[in-house]
Amino acid sequence: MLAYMTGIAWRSMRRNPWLTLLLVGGIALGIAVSNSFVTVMYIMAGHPIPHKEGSLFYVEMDAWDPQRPWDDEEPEVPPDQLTWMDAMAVLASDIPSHKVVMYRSELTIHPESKDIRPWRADTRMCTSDFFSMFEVPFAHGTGWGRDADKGPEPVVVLSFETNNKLFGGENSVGRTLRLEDREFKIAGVLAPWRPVPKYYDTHNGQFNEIEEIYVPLMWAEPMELWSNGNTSNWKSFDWSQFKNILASEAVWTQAWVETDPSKKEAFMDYLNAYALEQKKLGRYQRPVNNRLLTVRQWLDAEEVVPDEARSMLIIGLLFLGVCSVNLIGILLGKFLARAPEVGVRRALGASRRSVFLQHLLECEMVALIGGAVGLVLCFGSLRLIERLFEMSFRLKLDPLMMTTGLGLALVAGLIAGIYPAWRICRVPPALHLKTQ
Amino acid sequence: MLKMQNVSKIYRTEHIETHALSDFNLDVAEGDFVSIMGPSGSGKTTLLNTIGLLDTFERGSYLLDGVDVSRLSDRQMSRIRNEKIGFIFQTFNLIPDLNVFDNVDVPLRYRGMPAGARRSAIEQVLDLVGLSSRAKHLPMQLSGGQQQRVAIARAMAGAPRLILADEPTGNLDSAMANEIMDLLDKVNETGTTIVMVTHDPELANRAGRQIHLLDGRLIDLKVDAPRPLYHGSRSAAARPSPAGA
Amino acid sequence: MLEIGPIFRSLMHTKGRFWLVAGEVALTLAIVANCAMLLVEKRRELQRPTGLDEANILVVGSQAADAAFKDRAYMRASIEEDLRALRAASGVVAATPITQIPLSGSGSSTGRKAKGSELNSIAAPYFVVGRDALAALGVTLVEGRDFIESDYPDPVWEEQNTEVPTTEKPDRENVIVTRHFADKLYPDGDALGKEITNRDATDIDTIVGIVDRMHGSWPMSDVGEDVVLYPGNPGSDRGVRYMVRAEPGSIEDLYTSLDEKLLAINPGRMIDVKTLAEIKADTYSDNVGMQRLLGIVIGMLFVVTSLGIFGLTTFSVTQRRRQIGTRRALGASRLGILRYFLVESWIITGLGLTLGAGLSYALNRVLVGVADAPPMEAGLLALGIVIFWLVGVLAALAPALRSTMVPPVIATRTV
Repeated sequence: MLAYMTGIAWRSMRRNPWLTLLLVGGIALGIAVSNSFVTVMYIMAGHPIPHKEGSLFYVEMDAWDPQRPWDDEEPEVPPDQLTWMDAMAVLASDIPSHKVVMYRSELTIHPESKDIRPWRADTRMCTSDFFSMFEVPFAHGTGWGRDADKGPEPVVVLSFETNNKLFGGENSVGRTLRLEDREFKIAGVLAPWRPVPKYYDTHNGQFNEIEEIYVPLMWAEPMELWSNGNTSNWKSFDWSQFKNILASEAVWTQAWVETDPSKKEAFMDYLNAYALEQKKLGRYQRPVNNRLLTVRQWLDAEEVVPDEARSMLIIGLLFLGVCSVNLIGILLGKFLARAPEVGVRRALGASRRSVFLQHLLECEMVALIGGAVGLVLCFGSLRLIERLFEMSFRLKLDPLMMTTGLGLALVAGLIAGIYPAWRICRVPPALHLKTQ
Repeated sequence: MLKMQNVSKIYRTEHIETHALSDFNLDVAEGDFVSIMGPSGSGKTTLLNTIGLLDTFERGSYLLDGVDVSRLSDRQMSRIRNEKIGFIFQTFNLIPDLNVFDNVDVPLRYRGMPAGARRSAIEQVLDLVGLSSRAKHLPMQLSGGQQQRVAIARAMAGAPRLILADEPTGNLDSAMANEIMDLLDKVNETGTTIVMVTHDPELANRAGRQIHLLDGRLIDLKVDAPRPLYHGSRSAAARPSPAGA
Repeated sequence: MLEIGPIFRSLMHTKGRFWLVAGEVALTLAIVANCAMLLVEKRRELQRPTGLDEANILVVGSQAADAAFKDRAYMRASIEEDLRALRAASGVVAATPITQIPLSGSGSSTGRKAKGSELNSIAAPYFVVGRDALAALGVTLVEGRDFIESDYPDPVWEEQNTEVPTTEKPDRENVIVTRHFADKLYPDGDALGKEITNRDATDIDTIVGIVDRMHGSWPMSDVGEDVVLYPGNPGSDRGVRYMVRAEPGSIEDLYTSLDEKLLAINPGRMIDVKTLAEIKADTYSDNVGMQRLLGIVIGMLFVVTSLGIFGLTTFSVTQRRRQIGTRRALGASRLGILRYFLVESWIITGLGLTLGAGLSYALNRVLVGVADAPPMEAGLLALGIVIFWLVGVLAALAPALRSTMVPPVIATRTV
């Protein structure tokens, strides 16, 4: 029966190719637009590392100003970065299986080759667990070990692009690179890596590219490497001495821990105990307010998805609605023009239900074709969006988004077709069998 | 009232030329009640269309009320249709989205009559056909006979001098058909010329004059004397069928 | 003779046709109006005057590459050399060193409140600037005075002073602020001469001048127009930035020649030159992208809806051929038929747009709540309604014209 109905539908579509083209075009346009915005939202709001949702945590501690909360509008929220001292306390704990403290800085790279001018490179100062915690892929070599953290040893990891720029893409592990006034040994080169969003540090641009080089955190003090990210402070001190910054209440570092869920409580206890201890030393004068945020909680708190993406998602879906409604008129005309044929079929025994389903099937077939064409157009429209917003990351249609596109097409076909199909199935049998 | 001379209506396709009307002559005087009969394809509807200015013709001349219609613009023809002619269609042709009142109102609107005058004309004519109580009903809520009566009311609302009826009882049962014919008689009594197309000889006999068509030509079998205004009842005496029909 | 009454009544009886077009018009208006509102908001944001003369300002960044810059004296001497050269260059109106770049998205902020006020301090974005700053920025002083030489602290003293200010011995400076910021702290408009402080009044700044407008580092934020200018000696061992204002017409030449000129003076660093206009464009690039995207969506909506109205009206006319023929038979002229369908189209569109106005507000409420969109403005909505109405009429025009071609003879056809 289905095959028979499909055959009728197919023949009907072919009978009036221009009309069918118009219908396909309408759905395709609607899908191209709506699915693009759905995809943008999906990519921006996507979880970058779902299998670690229960084990990777961002650390927040509230050593902020006793007279005023970090955020006037949300007074129960702690600062979103840590002081150097508190970050060291996180590193000191053995409870998490992995932990990282880091911040963003800028170091001058002095290339050996005179053809490349020195430049100030975007740098991530971090401890060794950074690479395993965030599953950073390597093309050559590895990160440095925990011992290298302590020294600190003069080692550096290059991003894929930086390695291309400096060494033409060859395996540069073991070679030296001059950073500022010191020679560093290249321990590893990353494979191309572009987490979207840049979740491990969303400050200064949650959709930015990753840093160019990675240097052990402890070089901060000997090289007096100041932060290039956000810094906030409530308790004045003399900034001219770097060691003062490290001892201050200024927050400018980020800390993440990885621990299996059973140890999470224990780590919280550790943090709380530390806070109470610090109270005795005159710090932490606000109520103890330490938090461990999962990646999802962190992304939500940082409001990573721009409002415009939300607006465009709603608008995109409504646009699809408008396209569908617009097709209703065309379908009505098409179906009711065939009223005589339907009258004959009904006279020959077709039930109202089968006429209804027949026409709905035809709508959905057109919708599917429209959806497929729409997906092709979607590649183009995503490219356009990338260009309009000068995005540096690709908006890709993965299998889930393609399925969503086809699903949306089926819904659009339903919206467009249900009323015309209902109208045509109500044609009484043999209305036009009179010979007069 | 109207005078047609040598009128021919020709339909041309790629291969065939059909003469729907051939060298047709017709004279109808004011106040006549003429019936036009003939088998299918004889050109009855074409003749009515031509008389009513619904369609054009290729040859001959047609004077309506002394006016040569071939000189008329579309606008002028519309005006004549609106003011001088009333149509009663075989398929009623009531507008389904309008109620009875609004349906009868249609030709009056095109005449540009003010609202008050329209209202009283409509009420009068609905009363004449006996449907005053149904003024707000939609056509689909009425029986066939009632719909035809509305159509008659509509045709008469503007007091036209010529009424053209195309099989006015074709879709009705005999009881209703008689009612309709009585109504038409009443209308004719007021001096309105009626030209009626029918295939039913009994009905045709109620007209004062019968015209037969065959293949687009006129076969005028019997011509009565012009009918005087008339007050009594009348028996529908059967007349012999037209020869060669 | 417009037949409005009967047309309206007939629409009430044929729910399908009416609701389809009216509903479609309503939905499309709602979307178009909200997209237009977003677009207008973005456009306004972009076109606000910044107070700066961004068409004529270059931003020069000097990044230290040579270790010699770690010596403060060397660094300061180098900056002095640079400024001399810049100020002497032909086509340059003024140049000043500065700690951060306005309109760049990157900056510094501290907390300030009116002296003695019990309220919490508010965010005070600031720039530390050298001499000639107001001229180099192109901002307009409307009250008080520009900085004078005695306002600027001695750089050597600055470097060697390690005292932390206290409430007894606060750190005092003269500052110039924007009117927008001054009004936040002194709403009565009498900020000139008054003092602003941090919470424990260890830093006290006296407002000696008020600038009518200047956009700061984050122009699209709530504090976008709040700026405090501190007189000082910008520059560190990492480098320094200069704002260089050019005479109208000179900016092109300076853009290409300045880096060579500065590298000739001291090659131990990296120079990059950008125009302030470039920097602003970069900061606003999402804004512009959004405007374009919204424009495209609005355009497509109009096209799609016009086609839809065209289609539905054509269908509706085709369905009523017999009716059209009957009307003609009853005496309607071609013009009368045209008028009928146009009036019908107007009524449907008009009712649809009325419905759409309500829907626009409803959709707007959703977007405001979920996506922080701007609230709908009646003027814009009204404009949208007018444009849409015209579009609706035009879309229905062709089918309406076609309807006049239906011959009266259709009325007598029995098929």
